[in-house]
Amino acid sequence: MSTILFWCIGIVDNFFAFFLQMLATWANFALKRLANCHFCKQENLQVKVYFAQTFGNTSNMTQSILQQLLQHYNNCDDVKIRTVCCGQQFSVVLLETMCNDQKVCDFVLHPLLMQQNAKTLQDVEQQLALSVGTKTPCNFFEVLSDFSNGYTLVFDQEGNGCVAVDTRIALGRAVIEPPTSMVMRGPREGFVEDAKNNVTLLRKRLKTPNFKVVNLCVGKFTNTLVSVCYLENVADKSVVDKVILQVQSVCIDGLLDSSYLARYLDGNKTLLFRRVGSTEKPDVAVGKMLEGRVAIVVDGSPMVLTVPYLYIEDLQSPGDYYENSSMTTINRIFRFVSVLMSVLLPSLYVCLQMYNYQIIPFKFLVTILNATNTIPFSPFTEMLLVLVIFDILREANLRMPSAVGISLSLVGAIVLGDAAVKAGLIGAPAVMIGALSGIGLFTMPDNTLVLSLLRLAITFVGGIAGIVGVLVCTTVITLYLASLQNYKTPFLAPFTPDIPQDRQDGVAKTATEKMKTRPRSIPNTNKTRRG
Amino acid sequence: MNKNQIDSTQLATLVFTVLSGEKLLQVPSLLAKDVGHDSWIVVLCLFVADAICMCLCLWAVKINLKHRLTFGTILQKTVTRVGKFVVLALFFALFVCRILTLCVSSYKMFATTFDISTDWTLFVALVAIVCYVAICLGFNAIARTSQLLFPLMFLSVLTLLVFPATQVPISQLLPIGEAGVENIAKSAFSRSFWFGDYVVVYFLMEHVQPKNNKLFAPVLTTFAVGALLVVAVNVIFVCLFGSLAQNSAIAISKISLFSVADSSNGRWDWLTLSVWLMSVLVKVVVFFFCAYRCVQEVLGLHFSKTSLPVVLAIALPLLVPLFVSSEDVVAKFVTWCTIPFAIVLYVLPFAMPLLATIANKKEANP
Repeated sequence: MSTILFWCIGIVDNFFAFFLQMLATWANFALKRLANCHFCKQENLQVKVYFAQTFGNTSNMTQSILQQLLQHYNNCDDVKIRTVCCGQQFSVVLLETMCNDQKVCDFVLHPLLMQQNAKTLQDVEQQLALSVGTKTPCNFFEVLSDFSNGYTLVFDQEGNGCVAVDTRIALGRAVIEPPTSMVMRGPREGFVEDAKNNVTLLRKRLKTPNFKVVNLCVGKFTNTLVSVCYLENVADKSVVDKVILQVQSVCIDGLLDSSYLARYLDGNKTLLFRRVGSTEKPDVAVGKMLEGRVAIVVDGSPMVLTVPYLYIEDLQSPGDYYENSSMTTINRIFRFVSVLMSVLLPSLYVCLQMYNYQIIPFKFLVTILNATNTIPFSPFTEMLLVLVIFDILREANLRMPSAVGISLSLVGAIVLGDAAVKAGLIGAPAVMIGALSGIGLFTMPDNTLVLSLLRLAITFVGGIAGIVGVLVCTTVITLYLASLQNYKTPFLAPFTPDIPQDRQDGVAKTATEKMKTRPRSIPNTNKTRRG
Repeated sequence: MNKNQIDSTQLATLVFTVLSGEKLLQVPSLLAKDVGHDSWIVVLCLFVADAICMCLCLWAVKINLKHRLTFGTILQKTVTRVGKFVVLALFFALFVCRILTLCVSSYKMFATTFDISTDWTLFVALVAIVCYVAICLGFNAIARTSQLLFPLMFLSVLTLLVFPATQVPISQLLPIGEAGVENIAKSAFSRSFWFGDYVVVYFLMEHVQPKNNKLFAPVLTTFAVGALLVVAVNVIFVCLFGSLAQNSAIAISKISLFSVADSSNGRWDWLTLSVWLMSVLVKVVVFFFCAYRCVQEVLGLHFSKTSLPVVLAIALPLLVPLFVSSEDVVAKFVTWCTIPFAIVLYVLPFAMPLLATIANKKEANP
């Protein structure tokens, strides 16, 4: 009997052992699956169960932070909470849409589930050391900010706060050549929308501990990351401080692009000309930082801002620095002449046609008269018409998809241009001058709109008051430009105030090996380029 | 940064701009009327006087660098409030007259040369708008504009002079001093109103910042270049036109006739002339600024923003030509005021270093 009893107990024992082994295998399998897989729908349901349990068991402080957090994210189905037991219970809270599932499994859940004797948050932080970014937020706003940015938060049950683990999702396009600043020679990398990637592109080129990054958050709702980057011992500290102060003082609902910030960085809010530089190319941004400027990277924008900004910068193309200096000088002269021509040519044409035709060489005058004697409009009206049509076409072309844009250009060129001339509505010289002026505007791509507006204004005043009007307009514009100054930098430097040392990269460019000093018009703490 | 602060190189280019801005218009013909082909000697004498006075003014600026007192404060601390009022009132009258004559000359130039009969009121309105904008933007903007335009102005005058200079018979200047020393001195005294452009330095005393500790060298260099250019214009003008010079109202426009070798190439010189005319506009702006500062100092007001009524009050006398012949009015007024004007232009500078020293000492030990 006893033998049978022992035998039965043995069978039950074996069965129990087998059952336990099976259970352990299943648990191990489930844990492994949990650690490697993405959250599935079934797990989401479990999370919701934990949700109720978690708040039943937590102490006041943690509950308070969690409750506040959940109150803020009320009705957000992408908020996930899991309770993990690893010696003590910990609540793992994350925004599913902002976190990388793989990172959450690898750097948070798996290490925690493998741990059996974690008692405090310090233990958790030690355990999660595999993750690149682990920190203990200081206050609730920081908790909120980290959470909304894709950090996974681990709360303990004793109300000691939480640990934030960097599990941010990396979304965005690849680094490609920026469409707005293509170059024949030189690097083809362009900034992307992700601020972290953009800072990486800068740091890749500035492998020095002097490269400093100050991260700030702007936007009440967007909480956009703004990284102020500069070179210590090169950039002027007062300029850096002013930039940081201005970024911190921005009070706005949402910072959707760096151009929003540019308006705030422009201290005196200029009417026409912008005084904050922008670039899509990391090499250009680095080049500017090496001169003492500050770069501002805004998350979500491929345009990196640079301050201080000089008007001459718009004359400089990224390709200039990879070409022969004499070729660059010639190109810059062409650009400068074409901008002057594009702004003044239409007004001069109107003035000369209407008031001072004697200035025009005789043969040229005869040709113009032959082409315009049947036109029903005065030269003034004719030119204004051409300029307005050109501006409308340009605006429409910018907004059209590229395929339609080509058709629009054809319609503009053939129907409006050729047909209008053939119909005798507009003279060929006016169309030619309008087109020449229009093309010239694009040699300064950042100021095309402003220059176009000025061109219209000068033509208008020139048509009314003749050459006096053109002179007055030019003087007023020059006075206005000369008065501009931002971050201790005169807008028209190095021409006025005259800074002879900075002429090395003005209209004429000195060979790179001869450019031994940094621009004096840009405040900097290190005058020489050799260290 | 103070929006009126300028450095010594900017002051230098400004001196060149105001120096050449007007003296190439009516002055050569007026001098030719007085002393014939010896007009250039009068110009030279007056420039020497101007140079001496300017040096004294710059010395006063250097003394004043420590406490940076305004011209009005210096006067008040040394020659009392009444003395300050009298001097500044005289300067105000001088500036208004100069603005009026400048506007009339440039309008005449546009009318005769460019054949543009713009309405005088529109012309004055445009000038007043430019002046108002400039005062709002600050003197620094004016100085920078003049610095930017300096090479253009210099080259434009030079371009206009190069070809005629090769054509003129220099022998026309002989015999030198034919008009007699007395006539030359008399002409220099009576026409001194048109010179003495250095007076703008008085109104920038507290704003000038020497660049690399250099104040005299850049200013005197550009002054010398400008003076040589004006003398050259006078020489070329009297050599080209001889006895007809006194009847040719606008000198530079007549000289430019000889700049074009072939008229079928068009009058490109008009474009060059237009570029140079910007210096006249800048000069009007500078004098307008000085007149504005006079009002500020006399009334003892410091406007936080540019006062439009004051600008309009300065611009109002510019409408005089609508009712009476401005040339007659100005000529008579200037004749009456020749002595007081000459005192503030050529006597006051000799006292300025002393006045600046006393005022600064009083400021240091009140």
